[in-house]
Amino acid sequence: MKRLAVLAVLGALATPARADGPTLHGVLVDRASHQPIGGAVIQIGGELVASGDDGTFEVSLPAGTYTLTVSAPFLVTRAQPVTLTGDVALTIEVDPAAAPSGEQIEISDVAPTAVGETRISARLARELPGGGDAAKIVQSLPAVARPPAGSSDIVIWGAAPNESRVFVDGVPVMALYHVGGYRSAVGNDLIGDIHLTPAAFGPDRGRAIGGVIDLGLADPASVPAWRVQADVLDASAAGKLELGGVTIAAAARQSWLGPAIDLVTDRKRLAPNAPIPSWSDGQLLVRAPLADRLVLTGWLIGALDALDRTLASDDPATQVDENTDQRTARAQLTLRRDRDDGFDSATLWLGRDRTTYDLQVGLIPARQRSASWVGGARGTQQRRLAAAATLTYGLDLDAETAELARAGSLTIPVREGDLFIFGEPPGDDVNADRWHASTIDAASHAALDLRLGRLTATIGDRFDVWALTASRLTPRVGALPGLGAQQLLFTDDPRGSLQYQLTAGVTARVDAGRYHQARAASDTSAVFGTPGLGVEQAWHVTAGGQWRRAPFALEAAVYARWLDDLVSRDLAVTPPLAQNLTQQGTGRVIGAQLTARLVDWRGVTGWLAYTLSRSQRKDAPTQDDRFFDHDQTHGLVAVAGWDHGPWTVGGRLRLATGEPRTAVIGAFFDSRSGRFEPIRGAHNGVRLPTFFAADVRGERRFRVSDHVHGAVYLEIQNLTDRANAEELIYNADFAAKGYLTSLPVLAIGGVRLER
Amino acid sequence: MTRAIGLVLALAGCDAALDQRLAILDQPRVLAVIAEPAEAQPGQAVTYAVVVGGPDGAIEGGAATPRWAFCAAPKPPTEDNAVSTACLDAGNLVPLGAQATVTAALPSNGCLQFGPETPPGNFRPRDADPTGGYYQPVRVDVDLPGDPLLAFGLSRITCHLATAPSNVAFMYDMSYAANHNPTLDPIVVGPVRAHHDVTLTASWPAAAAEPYVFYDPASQTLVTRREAMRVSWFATGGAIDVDASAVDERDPTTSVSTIWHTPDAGTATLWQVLRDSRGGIAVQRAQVDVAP
Repeated sequence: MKRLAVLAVLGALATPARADGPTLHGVLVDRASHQPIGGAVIQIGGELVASGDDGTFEVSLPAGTYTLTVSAPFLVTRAQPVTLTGDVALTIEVDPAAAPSGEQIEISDVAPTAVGETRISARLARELPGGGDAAKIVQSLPAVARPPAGSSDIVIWGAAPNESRVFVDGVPVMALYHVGGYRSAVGNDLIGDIHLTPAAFGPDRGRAIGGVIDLGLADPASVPAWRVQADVLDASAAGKLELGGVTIAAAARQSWLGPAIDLVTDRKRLAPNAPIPSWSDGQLLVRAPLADRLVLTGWLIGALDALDRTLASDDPATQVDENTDQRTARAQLTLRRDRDDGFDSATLWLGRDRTTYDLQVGLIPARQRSASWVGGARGTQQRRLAAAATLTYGLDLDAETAELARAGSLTIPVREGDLFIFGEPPGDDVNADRWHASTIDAASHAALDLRLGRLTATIGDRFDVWALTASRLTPRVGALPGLGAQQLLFTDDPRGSLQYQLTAGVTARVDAGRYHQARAASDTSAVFGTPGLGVEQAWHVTAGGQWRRAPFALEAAVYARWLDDLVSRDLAVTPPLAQNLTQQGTGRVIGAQLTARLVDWRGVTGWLAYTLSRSQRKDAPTQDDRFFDHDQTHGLVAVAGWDHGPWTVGGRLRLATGEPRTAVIGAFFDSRSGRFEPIRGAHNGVRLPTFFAADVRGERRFRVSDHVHGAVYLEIQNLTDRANAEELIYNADFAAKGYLTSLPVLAIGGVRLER
Repeated sequence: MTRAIGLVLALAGCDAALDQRLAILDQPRVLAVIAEPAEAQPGQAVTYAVVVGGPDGAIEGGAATPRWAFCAAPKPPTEDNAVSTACLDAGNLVPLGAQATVTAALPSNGCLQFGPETPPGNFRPRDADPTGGYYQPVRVDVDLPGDPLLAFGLSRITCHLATAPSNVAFMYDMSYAANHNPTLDPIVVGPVRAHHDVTLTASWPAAAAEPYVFYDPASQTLVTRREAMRVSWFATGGAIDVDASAVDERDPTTSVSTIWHTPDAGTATLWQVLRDSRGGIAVQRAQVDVAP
């Protein structure tokens, strides 16, 4: 029954369960018609399998009681307890779901539904190069630019990192990765799937003008009874507990990269420019069925990051001391009720973010402190109005109140578009401010999905009310009370899509929409920013065609983004008071992407994607267009994993145009500092050399006892030992140029045990 | 895992080596631009001198007559350099003449152009440096044959506080003392032999590190600080352990040392350039006979 969407690389999950023990022989059937259901995902006891065309599936597990979950975009998710004491045959009745907004029906097999959209299971992601961390796969997905080494930034189809947003079960989180980018900040063991929408996402998501990354936490019942893992970077542990019908899963991770290196050598000598941070994270996940089809889920996630480093110099004026401390926590409660004709869902969430950053370059200081309370509520209802019409609507409240303090140079932190020369100390004209700001976004959204024969349409809209405040319109002067800045803004974002099924396996689709996001609270200082900043906006248009014939899928996409009202620096010699930032920035992104996917063909799953992109920005109408700081004209990524018996082997190839940089074309001597200062060439007028890296990962599973399984793995990154350029660097008088290169080879070996 | 760590350790360490050192003069170079007095009010006369060195020692007199100019272009707050890029454009320069030293009155609008004063219309005051200072850029071109040198001196201007509470600004005006150039004791080097290590010491009187009143923009109060000192080391040959040595403002130390790995036998020239954190400069030079 190859008629409905099973997203992206889901087919990889159809690999046979390997545990010894009783075997569950199941068959999925439609509750009403009793026709078999193929292409659905069955999760049980940490195993994921897919039902075949005849609706059957098999999984072997140790004896015990499990929660079996059946899910697919075209089904109402169903969970039921299963006790295995011996081989069991089970028929499971499932109900078809109404067509979800933005993910249309009548798409056969494996390819993404929206143009450029990718969904991948965490299990597969862990088996591919990325250090065994599921969310690291995002950096290898089509549409995501190759990140600089040591960076935690995500650049999606030419959008700046702060223009895209990461959600965990619909809750926005501060960052996807820990400082340094080695690991995911939202953990690993409890991640269920990863979903990337690079542009033109639906009206249920807001406050982003780039792309959206959704991480779905796993059903806690699918987590192993316990799992421990350790490698060069860190160690983690996870486990679950079942109390009656309530399932609780928890995971924690602690880095030890720095101490591990210290055992052998001085980390400052090892790689003075490579950040060696410390990180830890923890997650607690609870799922409690309250009644038939009524489920309460809740979770708490937290992450701690620290990075202390000193870049020693022969001249104290250029010695760099940097300290970063970042803490974040989120808690969420969701009540969901599934109905025959849709679902109701209500979510409450709360979070706390704290960031401290201290930088000292010689005598020049820079300090930033921010402490934010964030929270929100979401309510969504989906209702099938008719056989070919489904309405999804909801309310989305998102609020932040932040206390901030900053001291130092205006040019620290560096913003997108700054004429930044790597290694140059910041300007030594300094100031200080402390202030607070709040951002409230209350939105309503609705999407109507319609099917007319081969044509499927989604018509949606999101209406936001923004309440933006900053504590001072002008800089503080002694104890004089100041006026604050308050704004109430209204934005209306129409969004929609059209999809036409040309043949059984070929579809064409167009998506378009308007998007807004609020200015960052950190930009509202009366000394360093502009208190009265409002919202930035963008228009997205994507179009593409998909061809699918399991196990293959091909997709061609073109995309465009027009960005407006972007917050950018006021480049005036003497800007107006408290207006160091303007909203005169604009941007334009156009590109095309070809993606070929292979899903579970003789155990092989993977994709090959080529992206051609041009992302340009303009900081003011009087300025010339320039390349976006992270523009990558060509990007090629090939990722594949081969699952065979006890072995899993994965590989990744990445080829990308180097990022733009501003070259130094001369220098002069500054007598006050005693150092040379650069004369800059055209803004982002040159590029770093092309990046290429090949990475491999191998894992061998073994059985420790009847109930305990283990695995050892080894991942080697940059297998070809290529010295990839990450930054342009210069000698002291800027007469000679070179490149700061990333680590030639990085090997990560580890072991995992689980029950 | 141990092997994996070993791989990490063996293969990491990654930046291309580019010489970040300035201590050995392998080509002509401006070492300092000295303003006397080190800090002055707008309209006050200041004398400027340039110190140039090269592989053969000091470069003075007719070999390199410097051309002087004030730069009239303030730098935007987004500029990381000490002076505006516009100071590279002759159209923004006020020529002061071509001679070894030049004396000129600081522009009377210095605190408006480069300081915290703003024109009518509610504009942003310029930020001070970490010591509270504002500076008039002084451009000097040294036209050595085939090797033109470009440098900027920064002449500290005494300005009123524009962004402070009025009582704090008044107290600042009453208590602030303009900076003076520090003094540096003569270089003392004993007999020197080629390819030996020699300890170089730079010392200065305790009074050279002056106390000064500083307006702290974070607390918006006046605090008394003491100048930090930094010595740059130069030689015409051999090698010096560090480019510069510094003494923090909380440290009462009045001397610093480093090691000079002497060159081949012959004559070598040493310089010590002492900078206080408020822009004052002192220079000492010595010629040294390096015995075989």
